[in-house]
Amino acid sequence: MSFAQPTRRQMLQQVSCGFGGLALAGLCQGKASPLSPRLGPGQAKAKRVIFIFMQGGPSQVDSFDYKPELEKSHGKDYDFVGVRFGTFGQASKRKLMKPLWDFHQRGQTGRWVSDLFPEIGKHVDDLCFLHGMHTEGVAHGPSTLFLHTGATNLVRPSMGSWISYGLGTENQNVPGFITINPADSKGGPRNYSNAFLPAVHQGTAIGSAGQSAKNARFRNIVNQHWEHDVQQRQFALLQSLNRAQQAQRPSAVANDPTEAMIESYELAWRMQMNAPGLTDLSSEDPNTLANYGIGEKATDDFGRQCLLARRMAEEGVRFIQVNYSDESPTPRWDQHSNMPKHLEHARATDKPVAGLLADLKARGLLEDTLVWWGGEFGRTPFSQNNDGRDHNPRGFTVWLAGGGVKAGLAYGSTDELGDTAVDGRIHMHDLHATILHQLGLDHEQLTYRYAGRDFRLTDVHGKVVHEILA
Amino acid sequence: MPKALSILLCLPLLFPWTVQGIGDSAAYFEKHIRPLLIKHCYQCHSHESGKAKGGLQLDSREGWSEGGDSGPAITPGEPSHSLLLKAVSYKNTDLQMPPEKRLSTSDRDHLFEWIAQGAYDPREAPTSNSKPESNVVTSDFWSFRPIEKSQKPPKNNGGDWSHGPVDQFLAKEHQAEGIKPAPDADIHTALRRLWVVLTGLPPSPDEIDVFLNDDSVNAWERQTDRLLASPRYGEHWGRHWLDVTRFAESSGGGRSLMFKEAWRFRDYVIDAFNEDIPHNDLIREHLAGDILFQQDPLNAPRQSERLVATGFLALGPTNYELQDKELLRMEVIDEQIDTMGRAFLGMTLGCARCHDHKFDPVSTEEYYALAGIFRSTKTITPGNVSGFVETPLPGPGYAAQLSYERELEKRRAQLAFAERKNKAQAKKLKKAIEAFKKTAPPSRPKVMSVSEEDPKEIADCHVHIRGAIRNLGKPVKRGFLIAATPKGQSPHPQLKATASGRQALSDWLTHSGNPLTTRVYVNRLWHHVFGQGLVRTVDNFGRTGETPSHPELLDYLASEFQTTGAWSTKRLVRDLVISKAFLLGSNYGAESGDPENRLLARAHSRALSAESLRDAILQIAGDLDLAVGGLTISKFSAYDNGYKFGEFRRRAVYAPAFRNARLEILNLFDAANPNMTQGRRTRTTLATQALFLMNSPLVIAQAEAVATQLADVHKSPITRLEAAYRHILSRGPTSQEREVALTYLAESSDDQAWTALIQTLFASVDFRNLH
Repeated sequence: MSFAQPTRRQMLQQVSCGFGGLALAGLCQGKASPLSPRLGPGQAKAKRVIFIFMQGGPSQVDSFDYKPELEKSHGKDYDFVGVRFGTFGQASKRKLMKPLWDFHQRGQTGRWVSDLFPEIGKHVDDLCFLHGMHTEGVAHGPSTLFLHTGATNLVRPSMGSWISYGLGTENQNVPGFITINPADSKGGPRNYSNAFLPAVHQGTAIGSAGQSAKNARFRNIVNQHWEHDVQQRQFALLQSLNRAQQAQRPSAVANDPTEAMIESYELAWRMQMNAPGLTDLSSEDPNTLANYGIGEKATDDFGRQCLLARRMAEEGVRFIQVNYSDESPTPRWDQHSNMPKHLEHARATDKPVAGLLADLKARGLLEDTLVWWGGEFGRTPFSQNNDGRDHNPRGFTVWLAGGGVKAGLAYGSTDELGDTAVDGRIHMHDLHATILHQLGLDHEQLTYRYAGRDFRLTDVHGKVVHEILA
Repeated sequence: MPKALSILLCLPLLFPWTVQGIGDSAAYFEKHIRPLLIKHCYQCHSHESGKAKGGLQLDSREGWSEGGDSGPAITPGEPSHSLLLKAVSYKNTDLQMPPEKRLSTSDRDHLFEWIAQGAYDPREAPTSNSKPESNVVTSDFWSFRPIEKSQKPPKNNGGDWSHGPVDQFLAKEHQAEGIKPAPDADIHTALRRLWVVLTGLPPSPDEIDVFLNDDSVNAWERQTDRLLASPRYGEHWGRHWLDVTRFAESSGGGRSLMFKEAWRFRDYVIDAFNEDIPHNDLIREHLAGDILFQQDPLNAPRQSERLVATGFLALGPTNYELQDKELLRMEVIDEQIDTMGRAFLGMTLGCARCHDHKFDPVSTEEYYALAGIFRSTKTITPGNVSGFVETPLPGPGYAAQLSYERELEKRRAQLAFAERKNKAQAKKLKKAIEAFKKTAPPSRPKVMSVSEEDPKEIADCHVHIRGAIRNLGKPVKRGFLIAATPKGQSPHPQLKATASGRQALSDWLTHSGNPLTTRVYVNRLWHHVFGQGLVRTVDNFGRTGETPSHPELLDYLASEFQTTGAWSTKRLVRDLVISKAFLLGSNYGAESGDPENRLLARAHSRALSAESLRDAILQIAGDLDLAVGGLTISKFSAYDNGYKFGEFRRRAVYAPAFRNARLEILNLFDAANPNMTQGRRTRTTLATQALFLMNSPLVIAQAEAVATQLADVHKSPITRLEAAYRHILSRGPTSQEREVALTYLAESSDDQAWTALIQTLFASVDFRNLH
């Protein structure tokens, strides 16, 4: 493997074989599988992504974006420009609400983290906070789709699908893009859909939102009907019959669909033998389980999801998404009223996420795994329904860890009140571009021609944020 | 108030009139403006950087006075009319500059002052300043050329390939390329092909026998006509059209709203194919059914059908909860234009929303000429989560409901008037209205449709510069694609003040001189009969699509379709399946010089569609319910998430088709993406498909049912195996297959060996493929 800068010619070769997808498969001998692992044109700092999706929009001013001015201005009325239907573009007076939790400086770097996340707070020196995030959409559906696909309304491939398309997968026996317990609503399957990319790049969902992570398994991977030895004999019969049928149709084309079908059965069989073990936590050390909060009521479920993520990272899954989601009309972090409920969600996720960070680090996986924590947007510094906060796509915080981003950095800021990103502004398109960059992919080159047009994750936007890269 | 807080406020920019030394414009420019522009703007807007984003350069006076796509950036002396100040104020989300960081208050104040004082600027543009020209292609491209109407089938020297025009055109190319066509498929293969192509289902053993026992010379034609007359034909071919119309019963997007009445559109399509409604009528109904209906709501033919047909425009994937309602409106319009373009014209028009199409002759002006038509059409209704237009279905009681609604509206207007003038009378009227409401006729179902906008909303649309909804350019007269407008016709119709232009658009699409519509449609039919289109990119007849393998044949078919074919789908499909070409075997000879089989010297092998695969398994097990039409959503709720399909046993085309939830097998086996026009399904071969056939309880249960039924009738393993093959593969086993299967049975101690064997046949490549 060479880390030298690729020449333009090499790059083009890689583009045509690596990115051309199925249509070109026949032209690229030896790269026949669209899932075979490959390098992007750039230098990869990360091999995989774990995205911890905090669905509903956690409040930045109550967690990681410390605003003393908001504290002081509590209860005051200020004009804010509406972004919703009915108030769009008009200013109206809203009452500021101070953070509900105290902030403390933590770690060597002294980053501010509120008492909502004491466990994650212990890892601040490994985190890279992006305080100047902003995004598109105001309602959950559009913003959630934007977060995953770079489009609020039009149907586009999900980020994990783009990455699978660009890099393939390191382990042919498990899917390259897995999402654990995703929601059916707020975009639902479109959030992990391949859209027009070849179907092999579709995200595989295991479990579903609101269901126990204990039940998160691959579909149709276990046969409930046949004993193993019966099925083994049946499988041998199937392939014999398939070969017999194939023999009746001599094929002159290289890319014989019958051969591909027979191979797909072989792969399915290998998956059936291997993949179920991936979701089986029984071999894990009790200390590890405890570190993730598994066994404790509040953290058991999300702890399992986070531990699954680590196991998948070890197995070479390229894009792993862990969803803190449910199926209620308002997603979990969506406290339009009753902000104190944020504490319940923080309790459920704080220790598992901290456990994951510690575990990845201890196993040396954090170096080439990019961890991304965040919601589809943030929340307003002003109150709604007395004790809640509204959606805020204009300014919010996400954090990254590992995967070649600067550890211990706090980049960008919102204004004094924590409302609008004003400095170090990073649009969601920019974050997408930056994540692809860390994986060795160029967001402007990772294109797919569909219906006569070249599409990309970042549309015609996006800028790699070099300032946050180590 | 902390000073910096002012940046949060949506007050007019407060300007401190305290700056010293304004008199010296040059000094002011050098001190405050030049450094600011270099630091914050040049990166994307200067010759030095080689970038002129949005067409704008800010490194010379000419640069900003000429401006970019949005017009001049600065109007000297008028800060409030200067786009540059709007952009740096960050108030318009479509226009925020610089993008990474808002300028400081003092920087913004300096810009304001500079512009207010006349925007002195000594910088001159480099002489080589030339803006890129618009790159609209004026097209001589094949698909835009008029359809060649005088094509005559080339005569050949008799024999099998001389009987019909389709075969004659194909044979000419075989001969020219020296390709010898494959031998005919055996009769079992051909019959299975005919059945699956026409109805989506394989023949039962009894049906095979009936056909084999038909000794008449026209047995094939009789079989064809029987299948074309079967309701199964419309279900299968209607499904093809539903793929093109991206049909679904929910909105997708954020909150995926269920469309309760969308099944009527599905049934409309299935019925239209069964009744063989001429395709030009179908297009007119899809685009302007509501107008045709309104012209004579009580007496016109196909009243309900026409109204339901406009669901074509309404059923798209729409994120009704988008809060920026102007954006939502333009997104809906974009989706309508794009779907209309792909479905009927084989053109991707969406590109021209932001810039002139890079490959095809579609300018941004033409896009917004079409957008004006759809913007003058009402599709959505306002609300936090927006709604869609619903119209009561005509039919018995429709006249009564119409007059009731008119009367109610009149009385409400009277009430509104009285409430301002005469409280006592208002009270009386209110009471009378309540009483009148009790006389309401039974309400009619309401269907998703569109309607003409209110007359005051009907208008031409402005160009949206780079697609941004709040960055408007000049208005464009409503109209059509110039390159596809036949000679002697105008691309800009004369429209009444109350007309959106949709009816004119449907007339333009179905005009005999439109070069695209019939070419695209006959090619779709060819694609479904033979497995690949003459143009393989069936939804893309543009430069990025493929060119036809047989251009003369395509034009011949398109021309005949409009004239003697009377736009009849069944007629053309019949002509194709009774051709010699349809009967060819699919085996390739190694000698073939045409590996992709563009010249159709053999049949294309293809995968059974997801629907056919499922329906066939159920039918073979005797578990397929052939009930026709109607609402099939078993439990209606606001959103589609979490929907349980239960034991659904009707044909797959009738399964609730939600954008966020479908029958598992449809997702796995490449059913069309319901979010976009997909005239050609992708074909994947994935391990997840294999796992489904190996492990799904559905498949095993059906296999068990088949095994039980066969065991009742056939006691000997040999005849039982024969019957299993005939049921599942429409043929008997080969000697090799017989040997493998019998060995398996003999070695198997399990009493469910037959179930395992049947399941294996369902998973075998010959069942999953159509040869």
